[in-house]
Amino acid sequence: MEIDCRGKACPQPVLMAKQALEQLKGGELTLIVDDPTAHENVERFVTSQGCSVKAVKRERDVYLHIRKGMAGDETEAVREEEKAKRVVVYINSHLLGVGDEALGSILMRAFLKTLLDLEPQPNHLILINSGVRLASEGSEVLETLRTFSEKGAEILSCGTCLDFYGLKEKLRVGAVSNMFVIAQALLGADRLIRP
Amino acid sequence: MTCVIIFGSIHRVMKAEKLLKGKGLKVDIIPVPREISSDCGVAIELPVDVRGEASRLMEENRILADEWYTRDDGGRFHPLAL
Repeated sequence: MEIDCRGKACPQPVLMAKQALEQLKGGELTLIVDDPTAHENVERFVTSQGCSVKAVKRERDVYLHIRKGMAGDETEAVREEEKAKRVVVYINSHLLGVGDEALGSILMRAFLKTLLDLEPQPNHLILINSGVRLASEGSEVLETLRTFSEKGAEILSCGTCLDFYGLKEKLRVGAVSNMFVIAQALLGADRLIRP
Repeated sequence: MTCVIIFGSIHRVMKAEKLLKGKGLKVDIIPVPREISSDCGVAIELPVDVRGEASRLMEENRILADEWYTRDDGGRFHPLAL
């Protein structure tokens, strides 16, 4: 099966990959994308579904060869991962709490730093609306977020929000994501932390 | 090694951060370490080599600090008399 996602805007490529995977009984499908963000998002999504991906670049296009239903270790690894509690931290502002801005900013910095020292560590940090500022140039918590990332957390910034605030080129940690991946992460959470 | 300054109120923390950062010092806001106090609060952390300058600036601007500590590389805190 081959699916052409060239020229499709996010989250279309991910949705198309999802539909194709649902139909696919096993074996391989190829998905063609021409946008780096679409490539990353599709790869992240299908990996989360337990598939293996091989990306082959041809000029501006990327051919993603996706293999479903891998036998052996990989499936085991996915099952193991499923057993662990998935902790998702949903941050929808660069400030913590409602009230004074300067205070909110300080509280957010203190919150993230405190979280870094506690267990369990989050699997995802989702940044929405002005929350994306935290992962962008000039943020005071870049180092903190980088440490989360090194500890294995995935930091997802809403692409629409980065675009709105003019920060698309200024994201310094984590990945650009879309509503589909974000909603999927929220649905898949065992614990949702909303500071 | 770093230096951690504890203040009696959040307003002082904010004033001090603004002042020190404005003067180009590399200051950071951290939660007050549990070893020092169980109260909710934030503190300022800065490189130990600028503590003299920080202290002078705060004094000039009449921002009162409650306590000063150093944090050694093992993460332990030691009270500091300036």
